[in-house]
Amino acid sequence: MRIKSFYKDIGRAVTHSWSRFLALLVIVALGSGMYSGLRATAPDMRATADQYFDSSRFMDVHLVSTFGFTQEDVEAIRAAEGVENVMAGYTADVLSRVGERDLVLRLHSLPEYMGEDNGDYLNRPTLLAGRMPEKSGECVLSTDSLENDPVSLGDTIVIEDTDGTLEDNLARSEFTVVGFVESSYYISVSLGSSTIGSGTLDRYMYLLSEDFSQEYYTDLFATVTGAAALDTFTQEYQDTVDPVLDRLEVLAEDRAEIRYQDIRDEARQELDDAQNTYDEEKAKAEQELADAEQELLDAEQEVADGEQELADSRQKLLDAEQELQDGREELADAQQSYEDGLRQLEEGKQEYEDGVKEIADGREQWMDGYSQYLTGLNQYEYGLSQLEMQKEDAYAQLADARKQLNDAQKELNDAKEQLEEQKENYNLAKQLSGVVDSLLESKPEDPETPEEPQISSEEEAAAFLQELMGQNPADAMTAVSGLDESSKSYLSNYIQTVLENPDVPEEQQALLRQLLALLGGSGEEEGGGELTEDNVADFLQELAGMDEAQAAEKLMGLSRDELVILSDYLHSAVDQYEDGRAQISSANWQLREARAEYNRQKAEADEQFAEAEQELADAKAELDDAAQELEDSKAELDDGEQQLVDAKAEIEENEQKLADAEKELADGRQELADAEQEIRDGWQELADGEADLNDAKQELADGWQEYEDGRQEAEQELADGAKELNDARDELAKLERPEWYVLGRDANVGYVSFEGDCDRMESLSTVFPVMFFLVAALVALTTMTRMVEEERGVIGTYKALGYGRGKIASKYLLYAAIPTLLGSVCGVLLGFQTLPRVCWSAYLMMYNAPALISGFHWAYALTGTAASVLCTLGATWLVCRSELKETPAALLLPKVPKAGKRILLERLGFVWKRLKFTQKVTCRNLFRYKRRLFMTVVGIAGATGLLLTGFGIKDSIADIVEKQYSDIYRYDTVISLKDGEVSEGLRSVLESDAFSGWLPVMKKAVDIEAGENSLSGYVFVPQETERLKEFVSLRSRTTGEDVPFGEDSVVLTEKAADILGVEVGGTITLENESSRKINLTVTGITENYVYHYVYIAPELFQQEMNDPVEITEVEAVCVQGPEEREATARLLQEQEGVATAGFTEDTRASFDDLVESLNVIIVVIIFCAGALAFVVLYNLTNINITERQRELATIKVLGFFDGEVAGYIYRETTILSLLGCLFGLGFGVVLHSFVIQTVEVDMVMFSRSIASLSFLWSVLITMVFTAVVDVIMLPKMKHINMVESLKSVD
Amino acid sequence: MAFVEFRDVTKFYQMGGHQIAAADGVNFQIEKGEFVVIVGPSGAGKTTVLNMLGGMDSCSGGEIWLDGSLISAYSRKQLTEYRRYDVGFVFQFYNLVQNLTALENVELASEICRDPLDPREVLREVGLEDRMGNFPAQLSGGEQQRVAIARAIAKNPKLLLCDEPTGALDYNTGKAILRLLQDTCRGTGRTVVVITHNQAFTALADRVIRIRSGRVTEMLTNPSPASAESIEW
Repeated sequence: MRIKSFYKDIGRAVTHSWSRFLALLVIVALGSGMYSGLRATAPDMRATADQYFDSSRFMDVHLVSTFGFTQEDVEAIRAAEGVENVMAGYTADVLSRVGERDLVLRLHSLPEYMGEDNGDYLNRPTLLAGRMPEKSGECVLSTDSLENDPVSLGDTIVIEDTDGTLEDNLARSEFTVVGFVESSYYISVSLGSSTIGSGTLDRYMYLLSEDFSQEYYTDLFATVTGAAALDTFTQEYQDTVDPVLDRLEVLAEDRAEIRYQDIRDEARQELDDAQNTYDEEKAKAEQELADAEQELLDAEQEVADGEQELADSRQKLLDAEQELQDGREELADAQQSYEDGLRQLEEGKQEYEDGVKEIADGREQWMDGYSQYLTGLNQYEYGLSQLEMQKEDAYAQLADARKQLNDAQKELNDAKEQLEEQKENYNLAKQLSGVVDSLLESKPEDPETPEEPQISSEEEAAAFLQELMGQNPADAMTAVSGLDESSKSYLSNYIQTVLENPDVPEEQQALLRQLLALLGGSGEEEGGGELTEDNVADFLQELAGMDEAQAAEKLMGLSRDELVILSDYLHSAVDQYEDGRAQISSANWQLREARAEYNRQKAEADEQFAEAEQELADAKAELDDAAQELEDSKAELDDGEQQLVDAKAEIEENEQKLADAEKELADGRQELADAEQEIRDGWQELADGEADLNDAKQELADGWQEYEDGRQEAEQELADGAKELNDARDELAKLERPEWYVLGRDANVGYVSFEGDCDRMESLSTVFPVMFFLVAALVALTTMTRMVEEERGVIGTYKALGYGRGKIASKYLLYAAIPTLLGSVCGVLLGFQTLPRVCWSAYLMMYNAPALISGFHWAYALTGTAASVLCTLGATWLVCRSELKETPAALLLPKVPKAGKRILLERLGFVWKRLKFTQKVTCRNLFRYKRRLFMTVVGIAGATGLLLTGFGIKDSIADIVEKQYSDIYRYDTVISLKDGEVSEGLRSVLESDAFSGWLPVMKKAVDIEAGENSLSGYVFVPQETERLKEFVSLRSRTTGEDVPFGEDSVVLTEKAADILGVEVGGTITLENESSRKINLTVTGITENYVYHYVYIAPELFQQEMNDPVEITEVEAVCVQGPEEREATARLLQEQEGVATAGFTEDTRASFDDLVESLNVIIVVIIFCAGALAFVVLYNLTNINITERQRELATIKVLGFFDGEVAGYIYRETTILSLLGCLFGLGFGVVLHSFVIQTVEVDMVMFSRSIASLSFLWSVLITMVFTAVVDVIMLPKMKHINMVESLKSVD
Repeated sequence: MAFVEFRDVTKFYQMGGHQIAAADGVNFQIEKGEFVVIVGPSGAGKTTVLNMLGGMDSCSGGEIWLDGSLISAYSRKQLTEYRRYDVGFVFQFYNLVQNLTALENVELASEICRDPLDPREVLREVGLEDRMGNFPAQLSGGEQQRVAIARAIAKNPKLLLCDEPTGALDYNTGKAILRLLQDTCRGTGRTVVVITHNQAFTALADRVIRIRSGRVTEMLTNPSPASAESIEW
């Protein structure tokens, strides 16, 4: 009874405070649900995967060989210990155009029998739609992770034969899609890499094995006995499988050796056979070719002969034609001459007729002429006699006249001789008389002497001379001698100049010369004796005997009188002489007249007689001519007659000849016509012959062409054959030992990444629930404290009634236990069901797997529940214990209201005074309820922290994609090389517009050691030191400063440095190719997120490592858009020496998927954090309101509006929430970095930074929850009953 | 019209299917400046009347007038304003805000009024000028009630309503509080309504209203009220 009431009371306590009860229940449910759900996720995922692997008979061992597998290999594996089932199959990577993309497909073979009971049917694909292939040409395709699959059932997949090796792999190239599958072999959405196309596998396909044409199996899959029963992710599984793997490794070596021998022997045999065949074929071909050539040569000779013949006949024809032409011409000529002949004949006849007539006329004329002649002859003889008589008379008269003339001449000549004797005296006298006259004048007969002319210029000289000339020479002399000296010199000069003129007449010249002489020697006196009229003649004789000068002197010396005597004498002498001369002249004249008359008469007579004689002679000649003419005419006439007779004979003869010629002409014409016909025929024949010859030539040319083609073909074939043989030989020489790879499940990309994800999930699940438990405990503590405080009176009453402490405490413990247990159960059940599923659905974006098998994990259920119970009951016990210590009396009294206290802020008067009253109240209230403050802050901080962690994880992972692939890797294209060389083809593609730069590098996996730590990473050596920074950015993450990279630099990536515990200046150890360990000093540490790298300068690498820098990759920067890149990737792939070519954006895309899947997790986290915030705030506000109901009622009564009342409470809540957020951000940063480090895999460093936006979101979401709680609590506050709350203390 | 007037005011509560009439046609008038005592046994409905008059509760029927306003027709918001500006309350259990000092408690009321009195002056008037900075927990019951009265007066209300103001106090302190209330009424001319079950208080009142079972049984005016010191109970 008592117990019943007690429990009833407990029941009532629950029913009377649902909100408190529910708050407890929910927070516990959250905590335990979160814990159990998250903890269960990883095991559920593993269990699901294990189940999936078992049901699809996922292989435990995967064997791959470089030379494929023979049936013997298969049997050997099957016989190995521990191997349960073996499936041998074919695999091929091919390209196919699906939709608008070139996809890389991996084809797998299906066994012949696909029954459930075929134990050897491994890696079974799960059929999702359609059916499995039943006959050749059918296939099943993997489902596309994208929504709109471009392929649908019944479509045909056409495999492209890019390098001509399709036939080696497949029996056909077109396949009909009959179904869609997924496979445990490809559990991950990213299927892995391929050596063809873009380098990334896009989809996979299953075919019947008969559609493969490969000679050997490419893959062997095997299961290990007893492994399927074990969980694949456990150590037991590993322990079971590992020994088998080891055994297979040993077996693999043996089998590989056997296989190597077989292949080598076989190849040698084949090579020998091939060589023989080649030799035979070669000989045969050569023989055939030689025969053909001979035949052709013969034919050629024949053609040449034919050609010659044709040429000859052509020449002959041409000759004949020429002859014909000549004949024709001749004929024409003959015709012409015949016609001419005919015409001549006609003319001859005419002439003959004319001749006859002429002769007759001629004879008549001759008779007339002869009579005339006789008459003329008579006349002539008469005239001749007449003339002889006249002539005798005339000549007698003439002889008389002549005699008279000759007498007169004789007389005249005597007179002349007399005169001539006087002539000398005359000349002297004349000369002297002039001189004497002038002397006379100069001798002063009277004092008056004529004024001497003065000559002082040339003009005056000329005038004077003119005057002189007009005078007789003597006057002139006198005039001259009268001149003074200067005048004389002028005159003489002038005369000299006149004399130089040739026009001057000779008389004048003589005079002038005399004048000149006078001018030169004037003034000289003539000496001598006295002159009288008697001795004048003597004197003159004397004078004549002297030279001129003496004479002049003599003369000068004469006196005037003497001179006068002389002069008179002289003048008379002169006059005498001149009279005589005049008489002779007139006599001479008369004689000359008479002689002229005689001569005229004689000439006249001569002429008359000559004329008459001539006339007679002429007449005689005429007569003689006429006689001759007559004689000639007679002869001519006789000739003509004779000729006519001849002509007649000739004409007759010619007529005969012409008739013959006519006949000949006719014959000639006939002959020509015949010859023409012949020639025509000849041409026709020639044309025919030529046509034949051309045909023959064409045939010959064809023959040669054929021969040449044949020869080339044969040579090409032979060369190919030889090359093939050489290749084969080289190959044989280079034949590598077959290598077997024995792989476990951990070599399967999907398997490994799935395992990693499970592990990460597990790590996460250990972190988050702690937070919830902590908050749950706090909520329980606050709630129970309030409850116990509320029930103070009740406790007192119980105590007073005699209930024991334990009993009383049990009420509250029980009260707390009920929601705790209920909440735990709900939480665990819900958690197990929901969280793994939510996470799984997120992971299903990355994995193709069946629905999750969610199990019930007792361990997690119990630990979760236990933890919840511990938290709440522990808190409850703590509260009860202190309360129960008090005495019943004290408990029965109302608890002294907690006294108000001044807070620290009030001491700061200047701040406090500024605050509004309501703000003061808020401040004081905040510090009054410290427990509530603590709970709220912790709760809110937890929620905000979780939110921030959630957003932060996303940032961290999303960031590394951006940072690694945009900031750190500046290149976006990776081309791995086969043989360490950049081929020409590749170079040209890289130099094209598609790329802005490229750098060959050596990238090799190495183990990096430092002290006791070691990790696997890559050594990265650029070909050119200084260009590394164009492709990889080296910088410090914390300071953002550049890390220098020079010739002696060794730069380590950050996470590697972290794991190795190395700092700048520390030493790392690498192993070189000859397994020697090399120590290097780290010169810098650089920001990096994916993989570990040691960047080493090539100079240092060569120097320290003693290894050559062997180029393995080319990093390049592509500037093309995404749509062109596929073609570029293919182009790169096709280049010689390129192993794979791909863009980092593919890796990026897979990271983006990862981030996408994280979004779901983040939604879960946000949801949980929200729930946490909600519960905490609701509980807090609820407590706040109920606890302060009286206070609220009071201020309501005082007239506070609803808003003011709400603000009275909410102001506090808001401040607490903000405070909680602030702490939460700090807590979030810590939690985030912890989670990130837990989740991080060794190869990756997640970004440690959280985006500022994430901080904002976290705070914002928390505040939104606060607001939501406020709104929900509003009615409760509104409905506080003023009347009721005022009545009593409780 | 009187300053306060109740006309057939009814108030029903729904109690588990039964309708209980807390006020069943209450009628009375109060004049301005009167010291009124409403008296009646427990459960008679006097508190209901006070709550309705104070705007803390609404009536189910009838009209309540105050100073020419029809209170009974007020909306929730109007009622809040009415409480805020026109009415001062004094409670049996003082209802001070524990986290505020005496002065702050007074200010809590005065700060929301239109024309408040100076809180310090009011506290001085009620004789608490030395205890202004004390928290309620540091004050005796009488002192707390004085603070409560000061808080009500400081609002400068038209009507001062006191619900068993001496109920939690000892005899002498109760007398002092009554004295204070009477002085307030006389000194400021404010209308004071005191609700009590104590018949002795009727001697102090200008007007006595007796209530029994939800009805006014008697309404008297007392032309010569006694002073607070003179009464005994």
